[in-house]
Amino acid sequence: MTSRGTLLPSIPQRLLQIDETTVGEHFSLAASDRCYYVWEYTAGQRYDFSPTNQLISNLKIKPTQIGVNPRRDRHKQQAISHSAAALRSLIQRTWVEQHGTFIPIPASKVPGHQDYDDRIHRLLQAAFMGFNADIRPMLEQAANTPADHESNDRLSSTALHELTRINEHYPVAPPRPNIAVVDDVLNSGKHFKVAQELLSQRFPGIPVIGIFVARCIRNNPFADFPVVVEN
Amino acid sequence: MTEDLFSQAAASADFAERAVSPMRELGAYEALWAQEGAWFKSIAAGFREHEGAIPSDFVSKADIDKYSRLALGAIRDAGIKHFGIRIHGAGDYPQTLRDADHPVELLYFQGAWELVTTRCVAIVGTREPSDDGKQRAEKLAQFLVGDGFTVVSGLARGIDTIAHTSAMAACGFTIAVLGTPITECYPPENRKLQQRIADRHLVISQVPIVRYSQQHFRGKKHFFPERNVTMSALTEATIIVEAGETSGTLIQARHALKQKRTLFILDSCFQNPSLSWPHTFAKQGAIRVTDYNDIKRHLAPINPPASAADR
Repeated sequence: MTSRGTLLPSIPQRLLQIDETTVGEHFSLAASDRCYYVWEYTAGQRYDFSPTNQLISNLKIKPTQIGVNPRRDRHKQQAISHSAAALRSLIQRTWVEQHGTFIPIPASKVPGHQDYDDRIHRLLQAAFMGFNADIRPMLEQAANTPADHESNDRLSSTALHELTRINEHYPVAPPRPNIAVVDDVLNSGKHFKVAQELLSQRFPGIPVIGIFVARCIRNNPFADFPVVVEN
Repeated sequence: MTEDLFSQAAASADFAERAVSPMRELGAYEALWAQEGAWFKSIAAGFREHEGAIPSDFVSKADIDKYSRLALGAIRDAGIKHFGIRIHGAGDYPQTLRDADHPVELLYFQGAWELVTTRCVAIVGTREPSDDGKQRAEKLAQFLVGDGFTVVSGLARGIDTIAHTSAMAACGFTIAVLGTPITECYPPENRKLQQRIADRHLVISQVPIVRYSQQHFRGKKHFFPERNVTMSALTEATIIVEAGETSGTLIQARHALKQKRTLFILDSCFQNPSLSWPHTFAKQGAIRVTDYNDIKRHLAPINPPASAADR
């Protein structure tokens, strides 16, 4: 749909937060979860539907696709850089250096797989380059799974929970006062919830929030939003 | 304005405290509009004084809760299940809106917001067009769609209605910028058209739901010319098909030039000896259009996405 060529979504001044109007679209989330996002990605549409769709589509370019067409690596790197620039601009340095430990949602493929993609870790490293950031890629999957966004048979929360674990070889220093779990797209919120549960068990009492490059919408934001009105 | 509230919010350094809750800002925007004497100019002036502020910086939590409940109740009562908002400073708010004299801080929408990122051209004109005017509006919409443009108009009777329906008939996209809240429809006979655009294209409104519902009929009409200012800011060009000497369309013409958008006026307007406005705007930079090529020449061609070839 987009007819302005390659556009990157402009970086806003503030993050958006999931609230009563949007939490229903991310059905794994609880009302008390604190999740923040920069842009909205429209599911079921092509990469050229919007600048954000193009950004997310480029972020998710697989290593094997780059192997077939190396020019696509440029698009992926640009998407990582732009998303990183957004997080760097939106999250204050003091918070990064003193208040938050950043933990990427693990890739759906294990290291060594031809499509293993640590883009979220790379995005965080780029975002906070030169800062004293605590970035810990300490979550991992025990086995390869299809990427959720390209699978009709998505993993259940229980199955995902069984597959996701903390890498015990990773040095475990006490985290900072908040843990920010980071991913590119907030869909149902399932991956966030599994990460939140594992990390809350490991680090009791530390709040676990979610930060996303985009939340996923299905053509209409606030679809079937729950309206509570006092009569 | 509640200075203390604003200072507290501005002093906050935590990204989470600065984060925007759509629900909270919707309530705050409605509450701002409920204040005595509130209008686009006065509200915009408040935000100009406090750069980077959002509606909730100026309103108490009690008022935010009250007005978000009232607005969401009206939205529910109108049978609207899908809508969204855009807020200055967060998400995908279009920066082009800042070119308006009194830029709006919040917009309601229904449909595919992404249409605002396409190349948009407005077709506007009188509510009582001649037969020739109707045909010209229809042809223009067809040509623009054929060249990949999204046709934008104001859902009014006459030229606006023809612009929307012709764009859709040509399998193109259209955006309606309303002079009413999304919960209302004017003129009433366009209710189905508004619904169709909301379902398959994009409807935008800057009009506050609660204030409009409490406004006297005579006051409501003042929202209509204000939407023309926003429509012009959202688009790269405005085409005037037909308009009388006192038409509201001329407000859009004036603001299009002020916002450095391209203004096209059809030649037939110049040939009407009773009209002076075409000549006035031509002297200020408007382009006289004898056929579609005059428009096409002034609009940069649409390029395919640069990365498409790499896919």
